[in-house]
Amino acid sequence: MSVKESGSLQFNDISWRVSLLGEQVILMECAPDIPIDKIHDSTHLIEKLLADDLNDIVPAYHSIAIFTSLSIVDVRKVLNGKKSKINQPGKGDDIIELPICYEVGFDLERVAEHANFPIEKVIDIHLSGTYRSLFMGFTPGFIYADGLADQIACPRLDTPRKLLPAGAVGIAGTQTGIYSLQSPGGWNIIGRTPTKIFDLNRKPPILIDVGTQYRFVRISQKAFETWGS
Amino acid sequence: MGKLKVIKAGPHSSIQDLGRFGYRRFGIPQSGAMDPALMKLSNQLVSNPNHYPTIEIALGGIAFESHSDTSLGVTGATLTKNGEIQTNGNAHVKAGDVIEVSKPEKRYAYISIGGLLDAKHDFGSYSTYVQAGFGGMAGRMLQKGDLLETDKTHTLLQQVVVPEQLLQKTKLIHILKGPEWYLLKELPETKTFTIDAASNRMGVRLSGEKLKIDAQEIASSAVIPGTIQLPPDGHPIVLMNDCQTTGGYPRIGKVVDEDLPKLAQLAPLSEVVFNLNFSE
Repeated sequence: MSVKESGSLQFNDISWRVSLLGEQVILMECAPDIPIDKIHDSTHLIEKLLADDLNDIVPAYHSIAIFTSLSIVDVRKVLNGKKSKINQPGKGDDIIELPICYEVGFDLERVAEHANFPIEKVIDIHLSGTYRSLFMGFTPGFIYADGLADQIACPRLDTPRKLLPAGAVGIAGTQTGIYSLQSPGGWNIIGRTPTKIFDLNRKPPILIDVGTQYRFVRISQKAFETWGS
Repeated sequence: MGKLKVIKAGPHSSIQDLGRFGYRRFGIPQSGAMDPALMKLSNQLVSNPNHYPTIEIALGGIAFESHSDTSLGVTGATLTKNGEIQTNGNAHVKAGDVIEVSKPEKRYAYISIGGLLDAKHDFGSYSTYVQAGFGGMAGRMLQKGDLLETDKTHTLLQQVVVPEQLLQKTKLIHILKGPEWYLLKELPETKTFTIDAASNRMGVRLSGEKLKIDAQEIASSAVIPGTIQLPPDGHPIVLMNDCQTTGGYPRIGKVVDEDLPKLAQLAPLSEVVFNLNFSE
């Protein structure tokens, strides 16, 4: 296997650049202007078409990694020219509500200063947003999402924090996300949700699947501290 | 039932099997033994199936006190019981015996206890992944005082020959081009680096002459064990078993699967030569 087998592929009305990420991992990349819905839709279609030959699949912003023991040639044969049915209902119809406490965020002032807004206005803007899980990565269940208002975008910290709590809601540039587990991290923490978005003892362990939308509902610090007890 | 108490834990001792597969879509890493071939041999020494969880030690030894009759197999290090020393060997032990396993001859060594080790099982694997508390001994590294238990006492000791290539130190590592190989300003076919001391189960850091590249970051995309990332400082990192599932640094190459355990086994500060594989 080598780069000689790389090339392009027409699949789900998108032109993909196909190459090997590893001996048993095929990487499909598309132009950055392809909307993320199409990536998710293509991911589901690949799951269906490759069925038992698919060992794992990792969608990201403009790419899909296919874990399979099939060769590029065989995968190309299966996928070439296929597309999903029009008007297929997406996962984006239900919106999950997540509680958030802003008083226990660490960087609300920094975000407000950067936006040149009072803190309450930053909170209002953040609460008015509808966010959507784009893909997971970094740590198990970490959600990369879109939907952040440009007005409250804020560059990541120069020095990452050594330890952030699970449930920390972060902003890095125009990206937003939720820390699923305690971990180091360099994103601005605007608030925290007491809801476990990743729980080892739950099936499935994730609360918000890729493609699912969520919005925040404000709770007090007291409610945050006593949540679930 | 086999019972061993850890009386000296060593710096990086953890329970590992062959890894956790099929959950990268949730951001869950592979984990598992850094040298699977060597790990399987330790299981074979005590007649365990290849995939049974083992104890992986790195850069330091470990010692146990036995609380029952049991069997032990060790690959990649020396096993000492009551003054008897064996390399890549096995032994029956009795309650009260003290067993010492030396620092690994290379970087990683494996210890199998006869039977199935009682460990945490998460997402299809017993492998320890400390960052998320998955698998192993309560999701963490082994500590002094931990009691390791299996479902058997003595198991049959098997003669196992460790193949020469697992004992040799190989500094030649073959690589494939990665998705962002073309962003490199120079395209070397051979390049020599030094293994940085900060390397671990997540990644092997390479120091040496800086590599220059046109882009500093890419939109986050999938990475796998073996992916060679190039961060803005110009020093490549080869991602290893505990690596994250997506990353934003250019993926300039991929260490071939066959050579990844060889790279894992190189000691800190050793020299490594990367050779671009044009075969096929």
